[in-house]
Amino acid sequence: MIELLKIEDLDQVLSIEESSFAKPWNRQYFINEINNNEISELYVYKEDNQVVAYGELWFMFENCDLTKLAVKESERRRGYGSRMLRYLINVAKEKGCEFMHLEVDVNNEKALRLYQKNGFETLRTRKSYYENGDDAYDMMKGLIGIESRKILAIESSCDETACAIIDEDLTVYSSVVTSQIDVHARFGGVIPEVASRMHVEQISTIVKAAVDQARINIDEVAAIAYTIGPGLIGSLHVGGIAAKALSFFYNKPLIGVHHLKGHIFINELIKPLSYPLMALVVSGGHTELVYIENDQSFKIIGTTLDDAIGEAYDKVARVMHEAYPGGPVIDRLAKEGKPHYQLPTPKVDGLNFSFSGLKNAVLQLVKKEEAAGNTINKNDLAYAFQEVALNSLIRKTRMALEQYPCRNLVIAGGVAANSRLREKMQENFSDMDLILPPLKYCTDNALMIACAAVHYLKHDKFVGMDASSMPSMSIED
Amino acid sequence: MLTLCIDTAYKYLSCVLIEDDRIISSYSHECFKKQSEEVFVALNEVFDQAKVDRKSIDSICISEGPGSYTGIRIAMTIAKVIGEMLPCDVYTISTLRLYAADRRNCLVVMDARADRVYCGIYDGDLVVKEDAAVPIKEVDARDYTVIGDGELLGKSNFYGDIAEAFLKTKHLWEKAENISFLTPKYLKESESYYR
Repeated sequence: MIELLKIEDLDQVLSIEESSFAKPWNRQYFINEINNNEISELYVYKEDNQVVAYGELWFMFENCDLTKLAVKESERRRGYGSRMLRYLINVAKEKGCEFMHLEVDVNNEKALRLYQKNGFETLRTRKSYYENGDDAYDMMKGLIGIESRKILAIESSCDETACAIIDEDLTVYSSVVTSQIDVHARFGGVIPEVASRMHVEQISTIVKAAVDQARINIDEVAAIAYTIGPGLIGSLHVGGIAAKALSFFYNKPLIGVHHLKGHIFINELIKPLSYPLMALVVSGGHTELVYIENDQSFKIIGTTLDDAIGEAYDKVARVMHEAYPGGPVIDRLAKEGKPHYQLPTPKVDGLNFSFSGLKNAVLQLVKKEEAAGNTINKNDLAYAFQEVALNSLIRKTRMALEQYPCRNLVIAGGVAANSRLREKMQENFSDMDLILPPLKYCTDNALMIACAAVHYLKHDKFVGMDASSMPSMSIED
Repeated sequence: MLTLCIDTAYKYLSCVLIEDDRIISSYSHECFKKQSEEVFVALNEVFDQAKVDRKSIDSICISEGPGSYTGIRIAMTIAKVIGEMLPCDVYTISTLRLYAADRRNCLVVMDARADRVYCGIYDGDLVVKEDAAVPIKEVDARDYTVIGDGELLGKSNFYGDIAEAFLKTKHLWEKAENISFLTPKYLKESESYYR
């Protein structure tokens, strides 16, 4: 979340400042900028209350100077600098500035790339601008006539009610999610009617929170997006009606987003995707290898013939009398486990998957051990299941890449949060441009729907007010 | 005062624009289980007919249930989101109360499946028997005018003019104090789905 810098943020900001600059600003300087400098505005980017980046603007009539932009050392290369910069550009635009200027050390390649990527051009070189004798580039970006279109997106396909607002440059204005997982955990799975009821209860509060946090008017939005499928029909309905209501009353085009495209495109918040792209989509409802030639062409080249991998995790957790959802539980138990039990490797031709045989093998093994009066070592069983299940993902992904060479590989969906899968992906595909989504992007949210909607908007791909929700829609549609 | 009234609770899809004490446009068609596709097409028609700006409404009144679960969620979702964002006032009325309108000695009945019905008895403004989900065989309709799924009770189905019913029950609409807390009136608790 990006907000105005407050005095209480200063300790964290100063520690970043001191480790980032040869001539850091001191506390007094910052306080003066906050309290006394009428043309300056300082912003901080916070993750879980930790400052990860900050920046300052000076407003001078039609011109705006970017006087500071810093990212915490341990958080660099994660896109925070980019998002902070885009946010500051938007602040300047909203204040009516026509230009943005900055100086950057000619040797600071990463910063230069960031500014160039965001449309800054070098005006001239300032010789020996810095105390160490380094030259600086004077860079400028025009702010007129570049209106980034904003999208409001709603997600309600399963048990999360969410709303987010971003613009087509992927500046995040807000993202609000409420999960029903605590309720459904009591029953070992999502109860569709309960989920629908909770969506209706939450929907208006969530939309309002997202709009308020973004500090925008819905009138400023260029389009309303929602998850049109796949998912639970009753859940999809609520988000669909909410999105259509906004679209109808505010007269905005409507975008019906495929949920899994959201899981794929949210990776663009980390870094741009390059095509052709291979996506391993793994969740409670899906296990798919998707070959993506460009942002409009999706081809399922492998899929599960029975259970989705997340479903298998849930069922195995149930067999072991562990809680729902099973993914995190088994992941945790397996960390303490060792090779002990033998489970059969699923045998499926081609690029497809199967997990129901593996799940049954776990059930049989538990029954056999119990009949023999042995206590099951849950850690070892979790380890055995997880290794076999994940190895089949890795093996098929490798086969897929042999048949469909790609530059980029992403994993997407809830199971992308699995720590062992992430390890294995890194071990096995270190030679590729691999994107692992941050954990917070693995669970359902509306930001992902908004990220995908940017592509629909770019291609003018809208749906009508009479569009039906599609509970079992394919990503190829 | 301009109010948009919506009933998607059961077999009909009804959208009505009421200005003070007058219906200025309305749409009412049988539309069982297709409301979520049709409702905005219908709304488009009533706003076009009335030639008023969509955002100029002062309030929304919806039937809150009982009815088909998917159906009652449609009007409720529209009312909650638009009521919160526009913003505008939201009023609710029981679906059975709405269908009874201003009739005397009127029993309203709706299929609740599994040999049960949603049933309420009204006499003008008076509530004779509160809305409830009850076994069909417990309903005694002998002394009443029956509205709704009368066939279930050996009479004929009749739903009346729902647009008129909104107008006639205007003094009975209940204003929502807090829109975010509004929930449909399911009459069957979600706990029953936990088993």
